[in-house]
Amino acid sequence: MKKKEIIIIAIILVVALCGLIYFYLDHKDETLVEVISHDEVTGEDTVILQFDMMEDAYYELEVPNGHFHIEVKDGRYRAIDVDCPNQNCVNVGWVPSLGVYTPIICIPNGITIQVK
Amino acid sequence: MQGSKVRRLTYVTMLSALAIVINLVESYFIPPIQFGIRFGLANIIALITIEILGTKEMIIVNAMRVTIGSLLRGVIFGTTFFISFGGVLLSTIIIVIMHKIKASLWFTSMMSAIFHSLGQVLVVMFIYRQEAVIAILPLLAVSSIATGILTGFIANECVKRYKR
Repeated sequence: MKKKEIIIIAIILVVALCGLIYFYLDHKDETLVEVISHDEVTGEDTVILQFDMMEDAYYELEVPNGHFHIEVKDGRYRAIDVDCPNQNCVNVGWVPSLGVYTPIICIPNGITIQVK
Repeated sequence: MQGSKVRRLTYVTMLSALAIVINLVESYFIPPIQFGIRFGLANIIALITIEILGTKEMIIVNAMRVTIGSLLRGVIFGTTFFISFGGVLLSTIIIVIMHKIKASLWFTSMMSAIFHSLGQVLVVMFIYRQEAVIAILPLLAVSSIATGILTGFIANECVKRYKR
């Protein structure tokens, strides 16, 4: 590997690490979470559920592929027991984890869960 | 690579088939680690193709991989298809540029991995109008460098053995 290439990779690595630290420190005071449903036919986004992640709860939603469950516990939330082919939303796990508020996006069901 | 037209065609077909199979096996049997981080093993085939055949063939192999791969998974022309299409489009462009400036295979692999995730994030941002998705980009960039080293290593070894 050439020297120039190592330098470029190092620059990208440093920028990415700075970004990681920036998003890690970017704590939000907002505890309200929105569940948005995206209609593939009309392209419209509608808020179908709003919850406070400080209150423990278990929500059940009806989605195009079947059921979608959201578990809220100890200021964190996750998608669980979802009827969809790839289970990407379940694999995201608890949000926030390590201080990162990853939006949970379930593409087959058109569901987005994010902090308001 | 020297050789007749049939020989080249056979190579393109074989490599496309390999890329599609690796893509399918990866999406079914190797679960994503966390936050959608995957190994991107099918990229090995793209790297090998551009080294032993050329630019045009690599574009064909990548296009085949996306269309037939998503056709076999049953997600063609859905949202998932456009996300993988965006990723592959950007990574293909980057591989071509890197090949033109004669960068090493390691570097090509890493850059294409980074731009693959960038393309996917851009498409997700465009489709879902979700600017927040960009928060995942630094994490993807760091992991792309790691997986890029892995795929670059495998591609390098394959090309070395092919040329011997």
